[in-house]
Amino acid sequence: MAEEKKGSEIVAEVRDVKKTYLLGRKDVFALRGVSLSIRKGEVVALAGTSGSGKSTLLNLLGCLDEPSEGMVQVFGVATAGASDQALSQMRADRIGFIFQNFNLIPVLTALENVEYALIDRSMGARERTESAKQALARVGLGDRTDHRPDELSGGQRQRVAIARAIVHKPSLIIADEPTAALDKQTAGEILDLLQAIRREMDVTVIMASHDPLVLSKVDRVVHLSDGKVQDDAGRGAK
Amino acid sequence: MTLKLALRNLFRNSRRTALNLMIMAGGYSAVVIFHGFAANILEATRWGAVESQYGHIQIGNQKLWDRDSEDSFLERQLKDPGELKKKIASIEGVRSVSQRQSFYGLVSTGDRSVAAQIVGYEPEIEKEILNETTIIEGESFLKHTDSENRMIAAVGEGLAKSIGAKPGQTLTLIGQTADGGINAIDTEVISVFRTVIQEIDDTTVFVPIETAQKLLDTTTAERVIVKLKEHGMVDLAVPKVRAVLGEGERARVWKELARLYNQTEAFFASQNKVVAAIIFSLIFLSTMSAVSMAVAERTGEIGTLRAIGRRREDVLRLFVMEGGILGFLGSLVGVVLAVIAMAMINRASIPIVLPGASEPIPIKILYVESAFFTALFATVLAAICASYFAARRALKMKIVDCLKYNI
Ligand SMILES: Nc1ncnc2c1ncn2[C@@H]1O[C@H](COP(=O)(O)OP(=O)(O)OP(=O)(O)O)[C@@H](O)[C@H]1O
Ligand SMILES: [Mg+2]
Repeated sequence: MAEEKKGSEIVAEVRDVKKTYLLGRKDVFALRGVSLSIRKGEVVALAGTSGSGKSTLLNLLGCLDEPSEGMVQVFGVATAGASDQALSQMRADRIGFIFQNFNLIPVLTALENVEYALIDRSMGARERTESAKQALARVGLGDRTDHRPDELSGGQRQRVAIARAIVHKPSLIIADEPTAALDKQTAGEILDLLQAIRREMDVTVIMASHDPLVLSKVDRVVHLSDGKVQDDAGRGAK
Repeated sequence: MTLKLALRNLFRNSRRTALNLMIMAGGYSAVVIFHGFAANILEATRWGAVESQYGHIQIGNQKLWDRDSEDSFLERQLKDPGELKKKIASIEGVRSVSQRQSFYGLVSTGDRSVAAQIVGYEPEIEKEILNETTIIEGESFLKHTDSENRMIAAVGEGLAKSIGAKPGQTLTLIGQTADGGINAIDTEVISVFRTVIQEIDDTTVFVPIETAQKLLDTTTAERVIVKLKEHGMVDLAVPKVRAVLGEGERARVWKELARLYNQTEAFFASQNKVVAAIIFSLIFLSTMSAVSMAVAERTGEIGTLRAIGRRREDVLRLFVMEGGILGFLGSLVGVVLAVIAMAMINRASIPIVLPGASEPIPIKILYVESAFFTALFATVLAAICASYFAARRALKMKIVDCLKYNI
């Protein structure tokens, strides 16, 4: 296991995790014993061929799913057996999600999509709108607040999604193939944006991707193969 | 924000929303119209029962109500109806007080005799029993004001036919006098009548009370009929009437006596329930199918909402809210639809023959305010329950599985 950044605190930890899906009557082994520690402020990419278990591991780290075996701790909390309530709270408060296909709510405007991530917060409507506007401005979409997702380009949509993922000032951003639906140049811009945000907000970013561009722009690449960690390398190692 | 999202989602699939709204509105208006239809028939039946049969309150001797065969004719009679009438007339809300004497007897035109219900009443007071609409041949009792010796009779249509009685003919009434003898008097038929109740038309002869008393050789009355200024006054008037009654006299309310009305009421109550159950199940199923479709289409959205921290019940609330709004809007459209349909039906005056009635009356739909509110409540409730069940099933899916669907 790579442990270059000594001393900094651990955001997420995975120990001997196995994940099996039941497909019909057959067990599908998506993860076959994975151990991993993610430290604060890291930008980590999970790499590997299709079906190697990247999304599965990412979902576990994002508290969207629970391991079949082993331990997943996020912010010191074991996710296995935690209540829906507690995990939802954790996601709402401390995690931001970015998806391959942006996953914006089609009937809401860019601003409303971002505001929606603050819905649980005890803040006034004004304050909420203000925060959402700031987040949109940060991703360079200050002038597109009233557009619906279908009135935006792919890159713009992903920027809205990033604004939604950062508006509540999370400690962890989970991004599954954030650039896979974008052209190369846009993908580069999005990655640079994520890096900049990471520095400004001191947030940890975990991405799943097999895009070489992504892998070249992160601090650490964890290679998965057939549900196991094949290689875990720090900055510039790959 | 959730409300905004719910509303936008409803308008996003406007075709499906419109279809579901129409189903709800149709169901809603059907329930309200059915209620109004039943209410009108009930009201007509009640009016008939009170005005031409029972009055609002009847006073009779306790023994009349007991129907004990041991008791003699006189024991069942009110000894001093005139005094009783005077006492009741001064009670607030009383429109009229009159006496009646009804009994079974034989009526004969000479050729043919049949048994009949002979009803003696006070035509000057109970004008509504035989009036322009009920008299189909001949003239009113009121034209014969020579009170002492008016030996006149009005014969029901069916009875008149069976004995061949016509205005101007002599009709002999035969009955048992108060002390047990048989008596007969000749009367002149002055009219043939048709009420709304066929049974009355087939069996009844109306005569002025004096005629009846003469035949029975008595000055007593069988019962005193009280009619009130307004139907709603019954509950207030009954205790006041009871307070002035003498010994052995007992008051009964029309509803205890009106069997047909009570049967009609029970029939419509259960029919209204059945209609409502069918229609609200329909609304339930249609909403359930619409919400199930919406949930299936929006699986990716559900996954996303869950991922960004919304709890299961938050998402459930969203869909239930959509269902509730749909139910509310559907009811509003239903109100409009119902009002238009009612106006059209009422204007078309479609004839209908009621059970036990002799003549068709036009269908009329009453606006039953409470039905509008109850139906609104039931529609919204059905829609909310349907959305709840449709959405709950979908929310059992795992977040990661939901996220595999595109938005
Ligand atoms: N819900 C599921 N039910 C059954 N099997 C699943 C499920 N989700 C994932 N799998 C299986 O688990 C394995 C790992 O899948 P995963 O989605 O993590 O791969 P991945 O590395 O993200 O692939 P890709 O690059 O194509 O996204 C695959 O074999 C996949 O078929
Ligand atoms: Mg994947």
